[in-house]
Amino acid sequence: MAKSALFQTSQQTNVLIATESAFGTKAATGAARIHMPVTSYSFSEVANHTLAVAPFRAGAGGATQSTEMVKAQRHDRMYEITLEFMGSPQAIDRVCLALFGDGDGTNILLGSMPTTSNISGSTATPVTIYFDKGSASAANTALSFASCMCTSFTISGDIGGNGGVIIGSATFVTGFNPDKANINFSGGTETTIANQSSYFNMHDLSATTITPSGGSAEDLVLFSFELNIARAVNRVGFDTAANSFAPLGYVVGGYEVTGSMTVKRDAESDAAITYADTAEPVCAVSITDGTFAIAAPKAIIDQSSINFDEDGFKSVIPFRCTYDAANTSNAVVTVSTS
Amino acid sequence: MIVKAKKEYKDLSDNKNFIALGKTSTHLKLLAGMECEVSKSLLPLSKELLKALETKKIKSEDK
Repeated sequence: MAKSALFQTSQQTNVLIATESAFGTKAATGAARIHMPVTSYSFSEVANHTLAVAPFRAGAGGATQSTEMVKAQRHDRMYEITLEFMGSPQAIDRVCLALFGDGDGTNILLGSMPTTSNISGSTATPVTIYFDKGSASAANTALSFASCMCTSFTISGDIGGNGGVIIGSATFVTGFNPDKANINFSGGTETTIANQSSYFNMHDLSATTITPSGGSAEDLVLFSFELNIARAVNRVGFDTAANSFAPLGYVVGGYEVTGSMTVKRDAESDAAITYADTAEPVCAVSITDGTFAIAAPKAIIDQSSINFDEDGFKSVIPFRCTYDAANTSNAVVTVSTS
Repeated sequence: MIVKAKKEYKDLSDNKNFIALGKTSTHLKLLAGMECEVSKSLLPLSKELLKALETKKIKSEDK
């Protein structure tokens, strides 16, 4: 074969998240979908398996490795896709929906989630991540990662970076082999980039508070923040049909929600990290612009520290979000976009 | 609109209950016997879903 004059660039590749209707099958042409406002992305290469190697035989004569002794290990293969994107309400809602099943704009993660830990067949609600023109095999061909599960979502903002735009970073995994055929979407609900005309921004935040249990709301000057919601996703089993080694399902773990805020160090920040109520050393964390809002009603501060910056000392306040043990229906965190 | 689950709600499949509407938190709260406010963006609810819910008016709706 001659050298190919084709090449791939991020400029020509659109990235979509599409809703599936059958586990293990990529989204249909009329599937609900959103064009993600990505700033960067990455995905695993098609042959990302490791090799399984048998031990050397002892003795002279043919002691080296034959084709019988080295195998491509596909039964535990997991492809990983990471999307960095600007925080539009629609994009944040879609990722929250994929991660914990709430995507109407209030996006509440409850203590009783996940609803199902064994994911297969009709219990599954995974998504297809579609890279339009993402395949290297020919011009204008795509790459679909079917039945992806969201394993982590980080939402962050920095008043001094990225124009202040709130940035999301979502990681998906799938055990299914990528598909290089175009989907040729038509019909169905489509949220385009043009439909996402607004992005949340640090410059628009109106209030950031920490309310220690037994204390009052302390007003903080927020320089940057990060919130991460993560869960384990493991593939279960494999099907050797057609050498696909497709998983038979996934098993998901509980949600781990952690965050951090960097704020001006002052009397308010000092009071924010001082537990007024030693019987229940928790606090309510709130960041909002009036529409976009992160609320963690029962956060626990985790080893705060000081940045001795030239533009004033800052308190770094890491925290872990929990739900009120009185009821599993209590919220761990809310990421509101409307 | 504020709703509470009737017994029939738990018999609805996931493609007919609040999970299908992208509102798993409401689904779980209803199963736990709690009252939930349904946001306007989810309306109108399907007839089948409405049948499995007890609807309660918000005070301002009474006027």
